Amino acid sequence: MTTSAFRWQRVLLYAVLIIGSLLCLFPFYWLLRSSMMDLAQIFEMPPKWIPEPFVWRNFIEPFEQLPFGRYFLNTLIIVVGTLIGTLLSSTIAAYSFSRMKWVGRDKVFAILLTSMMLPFAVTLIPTFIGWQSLGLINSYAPLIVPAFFGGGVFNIFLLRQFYMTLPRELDEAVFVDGGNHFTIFTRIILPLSRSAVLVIGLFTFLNTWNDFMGPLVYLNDESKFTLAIGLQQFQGMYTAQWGVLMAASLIIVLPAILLFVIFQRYLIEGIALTGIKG
Amino acid sequence: MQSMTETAQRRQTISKSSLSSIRRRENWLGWLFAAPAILGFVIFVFGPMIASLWLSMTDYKVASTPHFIGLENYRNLFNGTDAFFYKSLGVTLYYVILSVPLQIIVAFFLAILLNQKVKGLTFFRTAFYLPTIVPLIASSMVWLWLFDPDMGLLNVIMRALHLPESQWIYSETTVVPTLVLMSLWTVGGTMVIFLAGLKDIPDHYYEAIEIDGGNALHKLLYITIPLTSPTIFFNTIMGFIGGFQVFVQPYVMTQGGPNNGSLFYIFYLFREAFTFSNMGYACAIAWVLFIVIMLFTFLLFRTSQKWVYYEGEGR
Amino acid sequence: MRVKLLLWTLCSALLIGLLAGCSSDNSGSAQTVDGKQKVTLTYASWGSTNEKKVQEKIARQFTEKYPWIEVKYMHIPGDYVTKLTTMFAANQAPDIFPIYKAQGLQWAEQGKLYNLNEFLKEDKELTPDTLIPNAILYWDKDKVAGIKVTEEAFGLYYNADMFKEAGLPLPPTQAEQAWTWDQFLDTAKKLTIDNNGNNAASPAFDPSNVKQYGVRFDTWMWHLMVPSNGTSVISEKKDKLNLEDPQMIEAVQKMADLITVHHVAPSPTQSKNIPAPAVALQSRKVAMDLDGQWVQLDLGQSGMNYGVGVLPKLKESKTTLFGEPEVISATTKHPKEAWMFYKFLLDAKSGLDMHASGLWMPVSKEWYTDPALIQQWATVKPGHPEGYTDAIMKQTLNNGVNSYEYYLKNSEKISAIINPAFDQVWLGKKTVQQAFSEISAKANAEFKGTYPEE
Repeated sequence: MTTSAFRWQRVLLYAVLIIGSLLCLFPFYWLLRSSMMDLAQIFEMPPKWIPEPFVWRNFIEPFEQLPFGRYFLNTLIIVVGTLIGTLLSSTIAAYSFSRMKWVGRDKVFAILLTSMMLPFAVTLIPTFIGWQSLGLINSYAPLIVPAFFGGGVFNIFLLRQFYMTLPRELDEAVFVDGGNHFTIFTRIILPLSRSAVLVIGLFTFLNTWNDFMGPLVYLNDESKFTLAIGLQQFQGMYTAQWGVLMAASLIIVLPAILLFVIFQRYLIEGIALTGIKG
Repeated sequence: MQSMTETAQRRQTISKSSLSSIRRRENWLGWLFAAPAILGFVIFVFGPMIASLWLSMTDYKVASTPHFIGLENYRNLFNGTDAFFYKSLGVTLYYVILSVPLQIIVAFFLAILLNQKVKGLTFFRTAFYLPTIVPLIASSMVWLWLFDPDMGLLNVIMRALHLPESQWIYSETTVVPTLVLMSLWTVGGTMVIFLAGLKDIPDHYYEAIEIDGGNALHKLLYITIPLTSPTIFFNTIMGFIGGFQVFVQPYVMTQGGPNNGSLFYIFYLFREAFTFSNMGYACAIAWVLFIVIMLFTFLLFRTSQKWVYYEGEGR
Repeated sequence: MRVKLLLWTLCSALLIGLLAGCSSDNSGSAQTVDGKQKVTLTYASWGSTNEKKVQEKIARQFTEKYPWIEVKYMHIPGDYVTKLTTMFAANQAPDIFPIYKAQGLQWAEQGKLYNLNEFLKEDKELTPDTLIPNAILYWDKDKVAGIKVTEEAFGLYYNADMFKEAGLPLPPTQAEQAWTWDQFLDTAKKLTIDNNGNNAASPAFDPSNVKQYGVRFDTWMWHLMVPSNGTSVISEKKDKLNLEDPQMIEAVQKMADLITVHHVAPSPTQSKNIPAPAVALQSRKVAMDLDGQWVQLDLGQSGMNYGVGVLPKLKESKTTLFGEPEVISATTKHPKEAWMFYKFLLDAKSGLDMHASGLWMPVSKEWYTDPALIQQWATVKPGHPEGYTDAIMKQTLNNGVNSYEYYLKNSEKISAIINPAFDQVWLGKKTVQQAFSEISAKANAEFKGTYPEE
């Protein structure tokens, strides 16, 4: 291959990548610039790329019209609760399925896996009726408690894959020293699986932060609403008032983006480590 | 598996009496550790599944007590009494068949590009992955606006490039392809998983091809694709399952229109359950979906024997 | 290691305990106020943030008047019907709430709502005679699902300045002088102007380049002109939908033609860019608006010079009535107190602010006939323009026809079949007749009869 042909290939490669990333990032830019503009300016043709002047009012409006601050807090409560529950129960479950021997272990795991195929719509109504009979509608319980019961088979699956890549010799060393499974789990496995746990944590955070169906169905009091519901309410109240809508969306998206940017490296590495690809 | 046998053997030498008690203890402990997850499955998956199966055979309408009506709901679905069932199934299948292969191909292609030792890898990776973080309700709004036929940016650009404008989500025929296009925006999630898979392929495999006089296409066909086939398989299954459950886009952007052109299955289900209060009927609709997904997954698993290659196994 | 497990179990238990604490509120313990047992009612409604404030005020005023009845107000923006359905499923339905007529009647049939006739036939203050006509919704003989909490009627709203500048006569306010459809169309054409300055009457008009539309209307009101053409969406014998009736088709086609043939009205996709009606009129994107009288709230607040006239007529001058009913849930624990609050809501005095603002119309006849009462709302500016009393108030009383949705059983399902067909009509791909004939069989298959008119 001649050098110039090689260079053309590289140029093409970068061109595709740059165009692709610009396409992916563009809606964000649009979101950002429109959130800081007046409604009239948003529709100007040719499009105005930089707001002139910057309108900050759009960001204040959501907080004035709806208790967005409250929603933020509520969402945080639910997210933290779900995180704790998921990390607790999925780690010990994954450990059990990967490094402990017990009767029917693999069969049970296979059965659990089938739940990934189950559309949530199948269980939605009976689960709802179940919570209703417990009198727990309009509380956070339906949203947080399931996390303590495995936190989602997907997470258990990921962690199990990861745990399977850790050498058994570590376990044996502990046994020989007279330790037991608790020791292995807390002293060896957990510390080693930091990046995998981080991945689970990030995914759980994102899913809960963005969850819309759950709060929609289970929460009645406005004082308990989450940001996702708040945004939907806002849509209903401010149809076609794009500037404010974009600002409200930005408020919701920003924490997630920030978190991602900070933990980006761990996330990508973590995905690789969990062996999800296999 | 080998080290497990070694451990067992070592334990045998420790003491025979304590062996069975250790085994029993591990058995019990194993169940204990897995208990929350198993309980979770029973309470939140299996139980509701059975309950919804029963509900699907009733006429439950929320306010009144449900009456058992056997398979009548299912009959009404399949014999054409329901004006929307087949339409929504068709729309959803159309979307899935378009979007899943497209997403896999684009994600795979991008992953290969990013695997080429490019500068600024972190930037590109972040750029592609970022859209997956945005909640669908927020991105649906942005896209709703971008798709506007008159003032939306997409048509403005088409106009500027002297390309034909589209009605995007506002025309019955273009709404599903438009939503497929929108789904490509979040292809970064799949791409990242492919990237991880690609990194695992040792360089010397590629070098072997080069030595044999092969080119990039040979590398792709004989190394890259076979060795990442488990990942492709996993992503395809997840893509299908996810594609069947699209809800937010029709709910927020199109309300199932125009002319039912985007009457996605879950949207149709949601409407039956919560707008028409036909909860028993909705459960039947949900079960039909479950069976469809199981069928698809089964088919995929069957065909996977032919093309998925797990390292360490013979072909 | 034991300690660690113990610690974890404790933490989990603590958290679950905390969560249980976050559980739904328990009903307050029994108390007495003024010797009467304390009663708590839940009152929910939709509406903008302005309406929310007024509703809260109404709830407070009621409790001031009857201190032993506490009314908790719950504001439900967003998907109202879904929310209420889930609340019913959770056995947590509010005691009193407004609901769209279609759902209201169906829910009454399904047993979700209280039969208000129990109270209505005994009540001395609130009787069918004290109410304006068409105010009571029956789901069966002697079974009242609800009473309209506010009446809603349609009129022709316009930007008066635009008319003056174009030198065109203002729309008439009295039914006897109502425009014919052709007169209306003619005016609309003169007020539809493209970017080159040509109006829709001129041969040089470019419909793809319109700067200002003559008129706008919401496409869900496709049946607006049907009563004026002397027919109805439901057949006269009440045995099927009238989808083949030429008069019915004509009435709907005339509306569609505004968009597809004469281009004086924006299509649904073009409408997505035109802001809300009041803003559209103010920013001169449209000159006229066929709309419900609730739009007067925004019009009044916009400060512009607007007016209202009677709708154009086909055969006769009519207006379509649309008011949504207030209902009481069948599961209420305090029906008597709920009825007290119900009457309080229906009394225009309670929410006078909203009536004066133009958003609501009273449902008691005296507010339409007693000059002293009329003064308190129908002439209050800026929510009510000159001519309102003729164009809307009198028209409602004398020429108002209830929308077909008050009488059609299973209307939600039928609408789900009819509405998508309209998507093609507004795009000009099909005529109304073609669209209707395609879905007529499916829609009529879902026809389950009608609700009684009294």
